[in-house]
Amino acid sequence: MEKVTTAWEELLQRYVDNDLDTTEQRKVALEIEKSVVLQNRLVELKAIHDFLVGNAKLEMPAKNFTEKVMQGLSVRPSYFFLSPRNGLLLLIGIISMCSLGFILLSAGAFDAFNMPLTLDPQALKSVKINLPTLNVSLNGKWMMRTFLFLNCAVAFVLLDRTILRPYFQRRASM
Amino acid sequence: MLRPSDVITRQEEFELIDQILAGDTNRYARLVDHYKSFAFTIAMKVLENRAEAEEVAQDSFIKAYHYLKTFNREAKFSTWLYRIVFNTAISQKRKNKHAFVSIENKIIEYSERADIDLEKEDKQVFIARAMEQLNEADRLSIQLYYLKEFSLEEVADMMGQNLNTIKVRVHRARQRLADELNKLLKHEALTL
Repeated sequence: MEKVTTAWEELLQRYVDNDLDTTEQRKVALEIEKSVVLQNRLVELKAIHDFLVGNAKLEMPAKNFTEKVMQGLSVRPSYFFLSPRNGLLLLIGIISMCSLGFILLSAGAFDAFNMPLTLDPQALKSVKINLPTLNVSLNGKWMMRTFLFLNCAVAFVLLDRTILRPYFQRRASM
Repeated sequence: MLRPSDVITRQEEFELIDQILAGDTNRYARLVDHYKSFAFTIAMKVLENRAEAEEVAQDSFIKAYHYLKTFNREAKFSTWLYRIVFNTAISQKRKNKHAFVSIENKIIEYSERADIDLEKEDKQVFIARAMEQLNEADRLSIQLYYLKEFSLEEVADMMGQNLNTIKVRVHRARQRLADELNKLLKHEALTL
């Protein structure tokens, strides 16, 4: 044998792990005795095995580990999808956009936007039910106000979840 | 054989969990004491930083406490907890941007400096260095497997991977480490 085959590689690893039955173990041991290539590979695998066994030691945390965990139990961890940093950046963006919206709104930029929208069921040929014609007036000012109100609500949630709540939780746990 | 500090039976563990869920929070300290070294070791293996590992292990225990109601008693509490620790540590590692870089095929070069060092350092140090060059998932698989407390099934469960994948990872990692050692031995023989 000039090179260790994949099958032998697996057998040798199982041999090192003591994972073979007695018959298999004996057979493998006999083959190893006959082949220098297998003997060398076994030496390498055993060195790796011994190293890994030797390094498999448990690490001990600090003495006050349990105490710290117990202190932290009262604080419910926040699992909001945004980090405080990203939350703050998004909040700044929303506030800037809202401020711009309020300025434009107070300057009367949306006063002229008033579009009547008529929904005529006759236009829909497939609809056979008699529906009354629907007239809706789209008021730009009110649309903008609704939009700004929703943005303010989002900003408030962001402020609470990503900044205020983590801050007060951290303070409470100190 | 490596074992947590004191023995705790599965029955005792379930009783403790019942008491904790009934509101006796202080009983949780017993579980923390029992599993802290393993949890910390797993976090250390992933993060390779003591302070971060400690923080991650603590966060994992806190998470486990808050989600204790969802713990399925068909599984072992330890496996469930270690999976939380493993996932929290991996998330932390990703945050640190020390991402899973596949360096599986990276060759450990024998520089002149390395020649000098190798005379001083023994094979153990070389193997430790070769370990660092392993694909991260392979390295973690082999390290957790060699902690002995874990069977291959538990390692697979903890890492959220298929049993056969873990078997392949452990096999491949050992093979690669042995190959590296072989290179070193040949190199040493040539320089003698």
